[in-house]
Amino acid sequence: MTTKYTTLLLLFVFAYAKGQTGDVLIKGGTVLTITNGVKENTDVLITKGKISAIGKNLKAPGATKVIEATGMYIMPGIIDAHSHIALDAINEASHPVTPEVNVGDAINPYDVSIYQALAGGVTISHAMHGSANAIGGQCQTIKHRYGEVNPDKLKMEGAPRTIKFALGENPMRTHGEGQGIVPRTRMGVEQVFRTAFSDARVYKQQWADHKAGLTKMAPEFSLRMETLADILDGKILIHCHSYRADEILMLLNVLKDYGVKKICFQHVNEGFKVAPELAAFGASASVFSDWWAYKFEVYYSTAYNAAILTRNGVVTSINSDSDELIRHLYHEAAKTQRYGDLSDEEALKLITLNPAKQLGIEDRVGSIEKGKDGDLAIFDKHPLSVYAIPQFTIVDGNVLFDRKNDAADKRIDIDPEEKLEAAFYERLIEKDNCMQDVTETLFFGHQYREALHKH
Amino acid sequence: MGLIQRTSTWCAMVLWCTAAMYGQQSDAPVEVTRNYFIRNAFVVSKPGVAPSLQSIIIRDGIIDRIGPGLSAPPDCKVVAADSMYVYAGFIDMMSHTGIKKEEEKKDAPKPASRGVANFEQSGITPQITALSKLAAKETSVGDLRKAGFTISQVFPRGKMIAGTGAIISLVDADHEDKMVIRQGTALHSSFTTASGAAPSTVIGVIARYRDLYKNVASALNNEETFALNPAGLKRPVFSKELQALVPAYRKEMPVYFVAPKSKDVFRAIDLQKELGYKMVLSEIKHILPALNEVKAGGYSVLLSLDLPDEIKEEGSKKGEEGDASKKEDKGQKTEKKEEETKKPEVKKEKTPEEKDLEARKKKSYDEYLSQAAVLEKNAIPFGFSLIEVKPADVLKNIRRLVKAGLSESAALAALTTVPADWLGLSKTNGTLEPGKSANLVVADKAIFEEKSAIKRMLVDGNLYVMEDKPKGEGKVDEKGMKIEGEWSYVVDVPGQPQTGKLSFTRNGRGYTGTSVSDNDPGTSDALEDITVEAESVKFNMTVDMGQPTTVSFDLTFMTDSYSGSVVVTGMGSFPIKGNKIKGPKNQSFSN
Repeated sequence: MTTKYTTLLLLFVFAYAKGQTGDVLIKGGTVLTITNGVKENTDVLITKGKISAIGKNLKAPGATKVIEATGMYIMPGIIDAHSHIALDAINEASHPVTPEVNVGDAINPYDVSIYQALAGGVTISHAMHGSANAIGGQCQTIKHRYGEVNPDKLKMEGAPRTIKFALGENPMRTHGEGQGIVPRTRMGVEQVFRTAFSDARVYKQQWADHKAGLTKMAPEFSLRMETLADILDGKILIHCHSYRADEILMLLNVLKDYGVKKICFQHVNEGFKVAPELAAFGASASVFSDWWAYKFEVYYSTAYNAAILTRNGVVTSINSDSDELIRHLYHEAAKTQRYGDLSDEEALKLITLNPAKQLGIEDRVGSIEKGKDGDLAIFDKHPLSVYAIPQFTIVDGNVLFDRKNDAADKRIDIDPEEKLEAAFYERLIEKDNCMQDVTETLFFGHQYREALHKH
Repeated sequence: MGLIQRTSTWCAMVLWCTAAMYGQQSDAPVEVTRNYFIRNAFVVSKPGVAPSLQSIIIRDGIIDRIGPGLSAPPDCKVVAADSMYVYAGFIDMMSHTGIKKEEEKKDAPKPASRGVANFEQSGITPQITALSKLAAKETSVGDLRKAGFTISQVFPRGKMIAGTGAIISLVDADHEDKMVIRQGTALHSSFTTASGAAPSTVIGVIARYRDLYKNVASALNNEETFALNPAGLKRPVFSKELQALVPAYRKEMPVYFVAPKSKDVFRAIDLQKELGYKMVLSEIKHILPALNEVKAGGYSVLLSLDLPDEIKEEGSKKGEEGDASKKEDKGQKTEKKEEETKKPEVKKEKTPEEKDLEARKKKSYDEYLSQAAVLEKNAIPFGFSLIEVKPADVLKNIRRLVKAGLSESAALAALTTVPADWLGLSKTNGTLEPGKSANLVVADKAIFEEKSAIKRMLVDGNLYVMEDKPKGEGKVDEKGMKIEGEWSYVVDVPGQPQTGKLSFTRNGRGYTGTSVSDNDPGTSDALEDITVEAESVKFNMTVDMGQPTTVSFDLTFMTDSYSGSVVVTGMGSFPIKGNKIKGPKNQSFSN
């Protein structure tokens, strides 16, 4: 074997040579801690991937990487509670109820969108199943460890299980229309939940009886029912695609009937109408800053949504649902200051601590505190300024984005047979991730090009 | 649209020419006696030994003696092999050789609604055996033999779980049973989705595997409980599919898991760890990123011999001119005139960005080709699988791997001793020794030399002679279906069938074509890489769905209709069928 190939191999295997965790000292910046105010001229030290000290004149062992951040702003790594990047499959649209599938099985560590998200200061995203089914698949909270080639290494270890639900037009159109099955209407969608939960109760009982020796023959194993039973047992957080207030209340009632307590409503454009009810239930909300009118059920919307929800005590986040929007979530958060007068801290919480809470990872990330993960975003200006530009993004103490060392081609996996295009393709339509893999949006129909958003 | 539309007619033509040259050999068995004397050849008795001048005596399908200075026994037919090279017959570990191409059942029941598909609709058919799909007269048997193979482990075609394999001898036989060495040897699994039914994505497929193996365990328990004392118990429901999975579940039968890309490899490893079966990573095209995991898990690997196309070196004007002259040969005078009136295309200087991209592509290409060498270096056991490679390309591609660092002995081992060992055939095959089966390859040069050609084959003691017999020009066409003209199509997308028209135009020995959707009659998409082999027609199309998406067609043509499947990258596979609208009459296309 020639040395040429040996070298190639070494390069490849150690593409993520930074290892699992890193050390870095950030000196002299303005630290936006989120939970403990703003600290000027302060150092942050990350040791073995965890924040080990926040203070003045911190010292680190000689070999530690140092970032001179005088004049810069340091905030917790941004968290996106609704995204579909880094996934090879999004919608198992073959049935209205598919909790057995898990997008964590289809992570694509090569997706360059991960790097683009890092370039916007985003260190964690919630890679979600799509909204084709009333009960969709399980989602996966991922850390943006770009450069890692093993899909499993992107999964945020210890992050709680989450699952996608969907209300309204998407499940109705995907399943009911043209197929003559439930759900064809909004009341049908409700019935899908009730039937699924009731079946799962029966299933749970059957297995309990079998395990207790009451029945000799084991019931059929069903990963679908197992997962639904786990939802009933509170082991999986629900994230539900929703728009209309009446449907949001409907799902709250269903959950009350079945004793399910944890839910985050996604999109939730009419959330402002039912903010007190959401707060009373303990439900959280993950919204767009100002994106609507892409289909009939999404017309009644307001850019004040996040602020109204926040003021009503609902844990609220702003998400991207897009591989483009994810690059400037800090701008999206800043819009709540124009529309709703949120404070700096409230606005930043929308993209840090609050999404962390919604994903059940707030003990690990979402603020700059000693002991938390070394996930940080460093900006040249205050991140809520329209002039702010991300300079560094750090995940587990590894600097994975550095604006001054930003190679033109950041792809990891190159197909040796691919046709080369030096330019990016022009997008004729905006990508519709929420409904990706749904067969109805099929190739031959050029009418698809005119399709509206179907979030 | 149009950004990456590039009809690769040339590519299709090159394929045609290769196929044509290949078809010029005849290998009718010679049946005077079953005793042979192979005289004075360079014998490579096993991988790693130097060729030495010896003769071989074969009697009734068994190697009788090997040695220098043997003289021809009077009862043996002499096979002139002076200064030729003799190797043990190659053994293929994974292909569809001899497996009938089946037409899609026209009246196959559709799933009542998506998600309530039965096992068959979901592509779960572990009960199907390769033997039940084997046809002795399939031309693929002879094609693989011409490439030096004497034995093949073949699998039925299918989806998620296609069925179990059989090891067959690549002899001409009047009945399939005479080819079979052993059956029920391994289970063919993959991440292939079902068309028009669940599971429609890779996450659906993986969830289904979990369900299946759990239910095998559960069914076995129930069977046992019922057998012990059935009184008062409901009889367990029999499932031929779950039953057929039992040997794999019990690790008595290896699972050959098709996992071409590195992401598939990671997924297959995760699933194997969860479900516990014995796994051979199969039809692997890119494995380097997962090397550590493959090594740690102790997996065996079957590398696909469908290697990336060679990257043409910069400024090789020669090749282009060669292509142009070939085109002229095809006698397309009318088209040529049109071309002459067009302005000659000025070659643009490449931008630095384009150069960078090309360099990265070249690096990736080198990585792909180095993989066999890397596996050898890391002592990871590997062989080859032949699912997607043309038999004529097998040796050619192995030579490319050797050029990229694989040792010749490891390459030969992957063709002989390794498969013999894995398939439990070491006592009868894999090396040239007295007492072993008379399965051997005779080539005019050492097989890893560029221009080496296989001249004789002995398969189970039957002699096959490859003589070059030049065929007349243009005859190739007769082997392929005449598809020119217009054809309708209906793609069976549940709830929303897609319709339109496909048009094919003859272009030399190949075809060009377009597709027009009824939804948008004004726009046509070019069909790329059209290949026609007998009644099988394959091509691709690139459509814009926000990003360029490849749509691959795999069709089987009849006289006035066709059927097959369409694979849309990232979306799944859908049945397609259509009828001829207009075009020349087809002669019978059966060979």
